[in-house]
Amino acid sequence: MSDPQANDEIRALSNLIDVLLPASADGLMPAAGSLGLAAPLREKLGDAWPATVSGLDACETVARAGGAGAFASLSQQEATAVLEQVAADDPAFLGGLVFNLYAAYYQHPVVVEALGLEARPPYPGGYPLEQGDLSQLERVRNGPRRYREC
Amino acid sequence: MSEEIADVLIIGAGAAGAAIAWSLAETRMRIVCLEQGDWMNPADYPTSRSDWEMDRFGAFGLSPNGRGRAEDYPVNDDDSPIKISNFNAVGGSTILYAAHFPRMHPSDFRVRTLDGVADDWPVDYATLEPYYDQNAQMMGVAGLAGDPAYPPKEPTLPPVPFGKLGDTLGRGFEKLGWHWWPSDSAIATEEHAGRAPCVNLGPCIMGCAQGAKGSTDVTYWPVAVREGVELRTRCRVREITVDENGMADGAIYLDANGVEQKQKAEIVIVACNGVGTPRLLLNSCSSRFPDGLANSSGLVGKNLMFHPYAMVTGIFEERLDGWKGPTGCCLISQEFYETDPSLDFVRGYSFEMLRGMGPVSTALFGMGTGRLPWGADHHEAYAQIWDRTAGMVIICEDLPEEHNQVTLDPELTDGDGIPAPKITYQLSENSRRMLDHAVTRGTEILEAAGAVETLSEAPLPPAGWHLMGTARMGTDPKRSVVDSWCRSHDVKNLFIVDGSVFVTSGGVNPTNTIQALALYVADKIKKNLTNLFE
Repeated sequence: MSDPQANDEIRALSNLIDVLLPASADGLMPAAGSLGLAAPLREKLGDAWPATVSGLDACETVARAGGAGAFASLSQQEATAVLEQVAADDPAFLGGLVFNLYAAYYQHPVVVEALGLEARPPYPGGYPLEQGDLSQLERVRNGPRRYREC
Repeated sequence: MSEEIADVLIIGAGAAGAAIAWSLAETRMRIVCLEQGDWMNPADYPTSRSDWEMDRFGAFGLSPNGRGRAEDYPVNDDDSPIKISNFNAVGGSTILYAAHFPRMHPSDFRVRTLDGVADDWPVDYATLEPYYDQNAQMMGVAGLAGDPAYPPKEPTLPPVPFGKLGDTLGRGFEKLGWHWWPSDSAIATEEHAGRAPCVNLGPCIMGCAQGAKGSTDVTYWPVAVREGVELRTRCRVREITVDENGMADGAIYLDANGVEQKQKAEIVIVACNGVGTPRLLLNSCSSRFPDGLANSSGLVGKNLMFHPYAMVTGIFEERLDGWKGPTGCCLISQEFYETDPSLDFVRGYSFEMLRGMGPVSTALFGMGTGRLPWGADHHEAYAQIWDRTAGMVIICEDLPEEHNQVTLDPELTDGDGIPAPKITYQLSENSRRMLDHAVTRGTEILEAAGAVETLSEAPLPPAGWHLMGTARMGTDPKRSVVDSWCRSHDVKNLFIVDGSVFVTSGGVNPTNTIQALALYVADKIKKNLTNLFE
């Protein structure tokens, strides 16, 4: 059975990470929340989750106190201002969250492909890499000995 | 207790233990090696998974204090600006090394004669040269002949490719007119001795799933085991024991179940690295050796050398294809390797050019350096660094100082209750000056190559990879722990063959020299078997 409170928290986190990592202006990079990263991120945060929930609550409180309504209803610019205020009051709130969010976002297949890579682990396929221009070394090769005889 | 006496007991199955085991195997002596770690399963290496980049913060991190592996022992490195990086497994730290594989220079063995500092080694480059060659065959060394920074040498395999990133950096070196060269790397660029060729996975320092990297679990050990060497894993040695004549007669160890065992032996060879070896010797006290085994000089654990590292990173406007290819070092420069009397430091350093970063590492780099905001400006900022970073580590020669040392921590122990090592280390003034010079020059290289922004860090805290000097070689028993073929001055059937025996550190990665020395010692043992204990 699903836990309504937990679902609300995941929704709130999803809104928050959409502010932290919104879609790019050209649409190539997706918003973090749209990738479904909130639930795995909650798992990753582990012991830090209660502090994150406190931060989410603070965002909601600050947003409503400003008279603009729920945090989820704010524009990117308004939500950013709220987040900056909450982070200023509680500097520890965003550090671990952003670290784990970046890690989750930049290994997501959609994001990896948007960066121009294949969405797969490096092994076993590997990657081609050209040798490079060895002719650039002729000056060094024909230069003086660079070690001391002894 | 093992009833059967081994002819040779080797403690540690890393770079040196593997090499000497393989070389001695042809004698058909009964050789037993005890290793506290286990065989690695290449399928467990991170590059087989999509989340591979984050494993450097977990099970494949560099510090034994943060990995949470039962095979590791803790190290108290609180009193050192450089933290210990190692690995405990069959293959030792070669499992996580970058396989950058330069030789030392001839001058590195003659620093007292040439530059008036530290001490000369009791061996020289010419003595080790055939063992470097032998090691190149066994480890599979890729490189390019013709480097004027070295006496002539022929790499076994074609050089590691350096691609667009290397071309870019090469143009920087050419603009400055400085030395640079494709680096020697223990990486199979072609199929070699049963190893599959490198496919440019990237993060060599988290283990090579392809098996192309020359870690000794895929180079020396398969051959040594086939030749009859018995390798026992998950066996942590607590102490080396001595008989009534003061000769080493074996070791007491804890097996995989934590049960105490004893292995008797005629010859004991220690290969536990520059921290593990003094730890073991200092833990091997007896009425005859109350200050630790082989320690009449009082120098066991003293003269610890790292290589103080700097890192300089450049951000470029063009994409560099740097996220693929062997991480460690595609190019090396030894423009400032030899002592230059016009500079304010003695000895020198190497520039080791790195490849770029994967997507996650790029984001964390951006976050850590304050150039990647969250919010609306994030993607634009990320695009300015993704696949646009290239840089270097700079490896500075460290000189021996007795106050830099490994001792036993009075409280910290490993999972078996064995006292753990404590590191006490300070950067010397010479090292600080060298680092300052290196960062300035490294920045020049990147700017000449087209970097639009550079940043640096020195010393690099997690760079305690190279552990040297804590059981030094020498001819004077009062000033050294082992003699010119790494035999203890005090205990005639005890040998040490890891970085502990280094007299000085050179300005290059030490693994190739550690192994060349181990092969040299093996030959000396083989040639002197009839009068080994005299």
